[in-house]
Amino acid sequence: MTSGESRAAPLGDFERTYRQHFVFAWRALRRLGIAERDLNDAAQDVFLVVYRRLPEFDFERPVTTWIYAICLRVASTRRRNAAWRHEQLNEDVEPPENAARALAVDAEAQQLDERRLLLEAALDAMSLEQRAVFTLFELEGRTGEEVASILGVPPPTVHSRLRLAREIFRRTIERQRAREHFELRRIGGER
Amino acid sequence: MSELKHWLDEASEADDFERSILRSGLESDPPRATQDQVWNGLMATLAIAPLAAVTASPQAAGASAAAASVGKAGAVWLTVAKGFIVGLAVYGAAQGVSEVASRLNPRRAPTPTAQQATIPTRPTRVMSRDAERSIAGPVSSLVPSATSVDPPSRLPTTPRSNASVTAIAHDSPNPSSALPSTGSFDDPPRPNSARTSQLEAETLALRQARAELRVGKLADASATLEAARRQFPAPELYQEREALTIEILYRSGQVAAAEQRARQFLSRFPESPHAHQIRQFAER
Repeated sequence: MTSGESRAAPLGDFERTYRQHFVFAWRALRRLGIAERDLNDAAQDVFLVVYRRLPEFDFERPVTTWIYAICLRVASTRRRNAAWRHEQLNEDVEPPENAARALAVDAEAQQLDERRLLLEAALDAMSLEQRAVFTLFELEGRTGEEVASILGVPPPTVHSRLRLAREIFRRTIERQRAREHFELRRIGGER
Repeated sequence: MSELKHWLDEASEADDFERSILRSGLESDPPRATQDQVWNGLMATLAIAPLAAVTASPQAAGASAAAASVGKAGAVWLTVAKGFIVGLAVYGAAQGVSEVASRLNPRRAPTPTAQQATIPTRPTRVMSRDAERSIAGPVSSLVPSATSVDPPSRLPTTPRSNASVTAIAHDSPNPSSALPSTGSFDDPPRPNSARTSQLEAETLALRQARAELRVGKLADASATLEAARRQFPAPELYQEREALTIEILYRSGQVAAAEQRARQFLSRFPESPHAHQIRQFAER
């Protein structure tokens, strides 16, 4: 689906678009905070919209920008609905200090689980816009210009959101470190 | 932005611990089978199998469908569906047997086939059209030439005591009917379980009608669609229902009615994903 390619039959376009961009969309949804159990549903939501809207899509524009925008809408809607239901999107994820121990089967896996949960906690503390910028830049490895293009915002906006997201990331980690340190000292003190 | 370094870079300002946290989030690709699972869920949600090619006379097509075994119908399907999208055809063929079975015993899970091994027995989930609009709405700002998307006009709600193919032939959608509210991305959150339930019910009804159509039970298929019309006067899957209706009309010998309805469909939804198939009925 390159720019300038003539428009084929919509259904053919749809399957091609799906195959080309599914992983991108799925990963985007995951990094935007969709819980593991809901990822397939959310991906289906995204591509239902793609299916309906594809005939109108201007292929002179980047497909990834369009699909990422839909992912953002899906994630936002789900986040909003979850808030309305007073649920957590990741309600099946226990607090890091409890869940990691339960999940890990060995020291290395435990460490990875702990870090992953810490990352999730930091990402959850960000707004969706900050999270999008942070994950695209830091985890997808996109450049600032690419992030701006995908999100359809000016580069200074990306810069600003990334700065704030990094602050949140650091603050979350510092808080968790302090908490762990406190736990250790308290346990030690009891002995 | 160009002066910014990614924190995963060793030369960045991030410390080793922060980098290790970030690295833990790098493995985010989906499992291999996930792509096909979601695709199959999509096909099921869309709830429309490939329309059979319009090559035989409607009477002959109906008779042959009635006489054919389900397995043979599935094979014919696969042949016919080559011009359609592959995933849709595979799903439709695989569903042929199971849908008939599920009509007889809706709660029984269909027997998996080789094709169906990873295919969910029902859509992974369904999303209401309102929700879809809500999600898609702002995206249209990225598409300057966007046109309105299949707003299903409210269908006639007059109860029909005797559902029949003939009744369907006269059941044309009223273009002047009020459109349902489209909702917007910024609407306050609302529970969507009712809409989801409707969509699921519509999906099941369409699948049942399609299964009946494929085995030549045109009156049953017509009655199923008619019941769906009464139950869901503001359908979520309007286009899909119309597509099936047109095919039923054609196969029951009401070619003129099918053509007229197909032209109406194309007039209202020229960019519909189903337009290519519908055009076969309108341009004979």
